[in-house]
Amino acid sequence: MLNDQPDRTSYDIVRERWQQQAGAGDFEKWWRRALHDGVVPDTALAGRTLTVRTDFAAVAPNSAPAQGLEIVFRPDPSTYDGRFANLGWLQELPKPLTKLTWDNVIYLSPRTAEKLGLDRVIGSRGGEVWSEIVELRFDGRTVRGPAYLVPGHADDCATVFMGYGRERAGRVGSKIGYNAAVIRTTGAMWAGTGAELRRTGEAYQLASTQLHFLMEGRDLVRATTLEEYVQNPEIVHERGHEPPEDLSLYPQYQYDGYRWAMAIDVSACIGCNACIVACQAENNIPVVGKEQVARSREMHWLRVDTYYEGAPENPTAYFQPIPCQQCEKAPCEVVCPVNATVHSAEGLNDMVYNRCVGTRYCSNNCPYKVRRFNYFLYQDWETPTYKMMRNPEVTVRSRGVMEKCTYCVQRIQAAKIEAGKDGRRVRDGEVLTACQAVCPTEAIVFGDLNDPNSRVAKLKAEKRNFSLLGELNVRPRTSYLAALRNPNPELKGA
Amino acid sequence: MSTITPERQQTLTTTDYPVIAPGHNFITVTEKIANIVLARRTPFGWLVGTAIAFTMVMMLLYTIGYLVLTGVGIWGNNIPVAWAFDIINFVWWIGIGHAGTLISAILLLFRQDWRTSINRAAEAMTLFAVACAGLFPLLHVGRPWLAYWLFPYPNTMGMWPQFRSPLMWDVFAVSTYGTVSLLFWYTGLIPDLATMRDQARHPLVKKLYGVLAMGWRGSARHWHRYETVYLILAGLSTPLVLSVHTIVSFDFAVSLIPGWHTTIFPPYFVAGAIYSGFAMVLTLLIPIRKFYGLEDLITLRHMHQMAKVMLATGLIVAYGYLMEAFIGWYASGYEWFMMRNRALGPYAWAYWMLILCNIVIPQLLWSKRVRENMLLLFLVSIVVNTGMWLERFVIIVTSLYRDFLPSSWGMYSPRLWDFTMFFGTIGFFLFLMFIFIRLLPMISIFEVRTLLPQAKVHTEPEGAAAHD
Repeated sequence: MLNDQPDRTSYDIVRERWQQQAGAGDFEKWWRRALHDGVVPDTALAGRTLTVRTDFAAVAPNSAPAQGLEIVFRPDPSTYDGRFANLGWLQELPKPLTKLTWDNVIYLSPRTAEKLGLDRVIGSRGGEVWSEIVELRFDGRTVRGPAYLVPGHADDCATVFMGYGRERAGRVGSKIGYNAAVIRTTGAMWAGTGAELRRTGEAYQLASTQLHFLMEGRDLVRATTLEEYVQNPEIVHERGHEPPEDLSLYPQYQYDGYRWAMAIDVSACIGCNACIVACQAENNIPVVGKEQVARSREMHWLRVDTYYEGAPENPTAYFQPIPCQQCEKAPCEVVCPVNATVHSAEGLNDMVYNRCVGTRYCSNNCPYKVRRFNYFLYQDWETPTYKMMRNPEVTVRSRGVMEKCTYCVQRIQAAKIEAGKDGRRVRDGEVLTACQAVCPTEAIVFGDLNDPNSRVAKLKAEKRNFSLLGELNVRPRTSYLAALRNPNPELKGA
Repeated sequence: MSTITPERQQTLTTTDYPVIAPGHNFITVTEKIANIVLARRTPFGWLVGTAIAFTMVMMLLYTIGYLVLTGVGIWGNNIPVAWAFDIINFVWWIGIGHAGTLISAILLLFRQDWRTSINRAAEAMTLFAVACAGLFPLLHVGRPWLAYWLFPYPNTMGMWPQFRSPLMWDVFAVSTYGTVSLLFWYTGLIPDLATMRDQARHPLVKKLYGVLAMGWRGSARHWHRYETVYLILAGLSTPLVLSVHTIVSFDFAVSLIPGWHTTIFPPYFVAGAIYSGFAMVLTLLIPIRKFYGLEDLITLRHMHQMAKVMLATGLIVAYGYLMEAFIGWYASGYEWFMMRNRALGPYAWAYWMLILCNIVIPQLLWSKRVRENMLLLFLVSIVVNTGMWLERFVIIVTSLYRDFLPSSWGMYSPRLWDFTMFFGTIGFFLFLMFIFIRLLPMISIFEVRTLLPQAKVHTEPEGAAAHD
């Protein structure tokens, strides 16, 4: 169509080309055979003999710069190259490794920072994280941004992130963070050497959703190797102590219909944060802004906890998504003075926004701290376009009300209505929670425990399954599958 | 150990300070107390103090207005520290109130005559402290205009409150406490209101006290009924001294947070409440008796006794801290982490300040010289008040800010509005106190009259005869 022979079909063109290649003989027969076999005989490229260059190390660019730091340019994990800078959801999305929001920072390894005298760069004043502004000089250009210590980061290297420092991104994204593009040239598109870092002594406030990244010897993310697990599947439960199920003053609940539950595979979670944004979009969760995040008032119903284990130079990182655990013996339910959080007939821990007066006792008594409180009127009730944005199936919460993950109860209800029309039960996999629907590794599985063949029931029957803080006897309905690592023995310790 | 024999009792009581200075008779007592209200011109110091307190009340009202219009987010509370100054102040004020009830009810039942000259002011303090305390649970909720949902009342929603919640129990405990305290105080005031009516010269004032006195004429039948009612109310108040703070402590003890989930809380809270209450009574009475020249009615004897009660309850509280630490160590795990974090973590300053204020400094009260030095005693009482406030800060904030999952740990720092609210209630409390001493007899006139030797003439031989 684009050449000067518009009447010729692509079929004709391909066929003509092979007519030249086929050589003598019956072309029609040859052509049909080639199409049938899917291969033209004897057309493989001849193999080449290669030899390993032994002088490779000498020719390769020096990884440790002779002077100054190596600089690495990375797109931001949330706002990418800045094209998403004006999206509040992404600005408030905690970056996977640092949990920082609303800013880009300059990553340094703890050792490098110490060398630069920045060892005390991270402090906290109240719930806020404070960092020092540094001046990064590269290729004759300079940029100023807050330094941040990241365990496991390479020494003598500074990682800068694009996607910030935009002048006219819009109401949300303008003039936040530093502009890494200022020091990026075609000479060093993604990495370069010879950067210089200078302290300025200026403090800068950052807003992080997680302030502590160590497990403090607590059995939170259970992890083992595949080898150990195959030898002893009980290894996951050896350290935990779960009281017997009937150890409670209150009677057990009976579930005749559905018994919803969730299993999250810690092995599969890569900490990509897709679930957080999906949850935020599905459940009309407000964006509260940097100042409120710094005051520990972010509203995410689902968070992904990051823990580091091992030496700060080369730690193992774990990601653990924490939605409401929908406890069977929920500590929040018994302390609410007005019955605003109650157990449903299907095992959910329902939040009744209309009834909530906002004593916040439920949040205090929640061992997982998954409850979120509307300290102000965080929702914009006036702007008409925001009304269009919201999910009509989910209540828009007002000021002074507690809220939390509902297991996407609106999706459960929709599926039940559909199933009811056909006079059947909800099938396994028919209800996908928002977080589950977007999880690229299928780490989150939701379903009915009353159906023994459901995926979630089978996962929970695995030996890998454990309850977070199971020793408290709150009987969480969300459980985790221990992280199994299968390291290549040849690479072990590398 | 020496047992207290009647002879020793005799020497003890004769060497101790009297509950009322010699030289008084029925008329002088009546006139001295009633004249503070009726005859004296408004003292300049009173005007200044009231003006300052009133300014603080305005600050409180401004804060409340802003709070209700904007949201509890104006405070520093967050997640994980969802309770902070609001509940600290609530528990602090409620605790302070306990001394009044203890003095008026329990000491009445134990027939401690030294309670007589201080019970009126202490009970007023109780009422005003409860009024301040009540503001916090009401205003700390996200939607205060719906706080009445905590009361069980018939409604179209067909809903009861949730009776398993300790906050629910609080509603009953505090409202009962407030009601009984008010009745007790007012009943005790009636004979004195009649005295005021009789002493007043201005017809309007006469009428006003007359209405409040509810027709008290002082007949034998009135006295008989009065004594019965007063005793019944004392009996009703007595369990309240123990129950109210026990229930307040359940807010914490019933939860599962390390540092809250502690069985020692009820007795330790009650002791702490009486401790802080007596400290507040001293804080108020030391300047009052000085400015109004009441040293002959509120004598060193009273100061001694109150200081001793403080010392005793302070030691119970110290035992509570010790047990908390011991049980934390014994329980290990989360509890021991919490204890170490309290003593060594970022809020360690609060913990050690608390130990200093509540345990170390009050040991000065062992010394008789300190108990007799009004300035020192006043300072110690202020220190104990501060310490008891810090105790609640330590219990509430340092338990919440680092609980089970390190990922959800946070920090807490109060904001401007936390302080305006807190100091606003102090202003409100002082304002009510100033109004009280200006308009009502701050010492029970008729009860102090019974302390006089003249009042004992008829009863003494009978009592002696019964013993012999």
